[in-house]
Amino acid sequence: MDDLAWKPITELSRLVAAKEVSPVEVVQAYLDRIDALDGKLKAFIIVCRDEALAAAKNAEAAVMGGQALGPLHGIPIGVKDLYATKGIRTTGGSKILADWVPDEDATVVARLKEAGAIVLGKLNMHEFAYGPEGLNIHFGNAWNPWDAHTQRMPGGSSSGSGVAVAAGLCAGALGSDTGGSIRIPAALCGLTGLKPTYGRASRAGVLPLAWSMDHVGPMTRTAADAAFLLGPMAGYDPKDPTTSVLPVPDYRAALTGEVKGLRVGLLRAFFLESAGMVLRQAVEQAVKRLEEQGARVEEVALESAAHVSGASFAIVSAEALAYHEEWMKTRPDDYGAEVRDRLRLGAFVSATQYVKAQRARQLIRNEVDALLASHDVLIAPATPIVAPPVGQTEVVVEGERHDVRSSLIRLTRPFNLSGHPACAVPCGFTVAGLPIGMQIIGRPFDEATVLRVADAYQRITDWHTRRPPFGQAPAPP
Amino acid sequence: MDRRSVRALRRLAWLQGYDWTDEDLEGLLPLVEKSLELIERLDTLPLRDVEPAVQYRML
Repeated sequence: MDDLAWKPITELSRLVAAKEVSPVEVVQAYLDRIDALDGKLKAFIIVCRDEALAAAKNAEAAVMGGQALGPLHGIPIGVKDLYATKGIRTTGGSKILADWVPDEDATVVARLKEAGAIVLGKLNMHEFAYGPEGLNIHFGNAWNPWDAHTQRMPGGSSSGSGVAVAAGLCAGALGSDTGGSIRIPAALCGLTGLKPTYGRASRAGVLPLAWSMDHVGPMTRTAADAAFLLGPMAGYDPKDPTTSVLPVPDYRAALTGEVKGLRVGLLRAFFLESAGMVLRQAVEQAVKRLEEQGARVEEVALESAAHVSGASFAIVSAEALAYHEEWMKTRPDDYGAEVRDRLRLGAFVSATQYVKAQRARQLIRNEVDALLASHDVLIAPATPIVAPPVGQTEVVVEGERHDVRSSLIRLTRPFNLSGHPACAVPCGFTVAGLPIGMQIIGRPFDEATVLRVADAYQRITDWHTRRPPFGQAPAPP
Repeated sequence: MDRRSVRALRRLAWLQGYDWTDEDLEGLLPLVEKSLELIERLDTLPLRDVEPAVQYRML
């Protein structure tokens, strides 16, 4: 049964449809692992045991009754606890919303359920998604499963999503990404994490951090699994005016394994140069593997990258405080101190500064577009560092001290500003066994090419198949 | 009044309806200074002819 928990969605889906495995067996396999491991891992805020088993029995009956099945029929997923779920508490990782029970599902949750997915539970996260470390003062810190003995950051804000998928507690998960919150935990937990183009998947029913920077997307063990989840998630939604009417391509069909002739731009200045030597070498080696498969690689530079932090800060902090204004006045003590302080910073950004940041954002977007006019994808490290221990606030990279928080979001945030699709994939491990991630960035609404490159890379490497030591070694005390 | 002081922050916060203590604001001041420096660096970008990346769409 334990093996079921490690099977990719692509295979689970085939096994369920072929009646070789029952959805009940699949759900039970994950519930057993959650029972055994999640007391320490703290990936889940809520486990929907009864609902998931009931859904699995219905799914089993549908299979046995010969009914038409969706592409995700009987596939158990975890949902970051900022997606509204009908009849199930949705906390946003906060005390403020600890008892909120939505009366309808977020659009993408509803769409995944229509495609046959089964929601196993709601996943831990940084409070209100406002932090890349993935820590949570209210529900406990999720434990990165790649170190069984030292509690390391899973990365955030979608920390529970990263931990649950990496530890085999669900087949795939939903995350959200405002500055890197899908790609950072994907990188730190050795996963594939896709931030689609802004407007590709609906944010309706998802608690906002910063409306103009928020993206929703899948976190999975393989790029092929991400393609499986993205298909049903993507597309126009009248409840989210930013969603595009562009047709949704068949992402699974795009996974040809072929990269011959593909033009790859390797972002060295600011990106590779920020990363520690081991991470830099891992990404360079990954690009070399693509080159061996026929991709044409050249180094490129995003000149405006140094301005990303100023523009992002102004936009995110102003939008975040605007959303939280009422609670910040009526219930300030119900926030964790660190998130409350970060929200307060929004009060010191003026309207003209906000607009200036949005103008800078346009400039940065234009520059990314220009690079992608002559390249099919860009490649960069996903993070400049691997998972730091919980509590560490500074990190030394190549002899220089850096703030952990700023380091974690440094390389992902440019593409929240620009809105381009970006996918993190594992591309190596440190000697200590911690995962290293790279990101593949594509043209707007060209997730198909991004996923094709990610999948092609995974066909010639095995980083994504490794399993973390947590649950295999004796559990920490 | 110093543009970046606890007193200045208190006034700005108060104008928006927040009554934060001096202790709160003292803790925030270094973060505010650092953040505003980052925003001021945007002035070095050629933004004269660039419209903001926000849209209002009727349809």
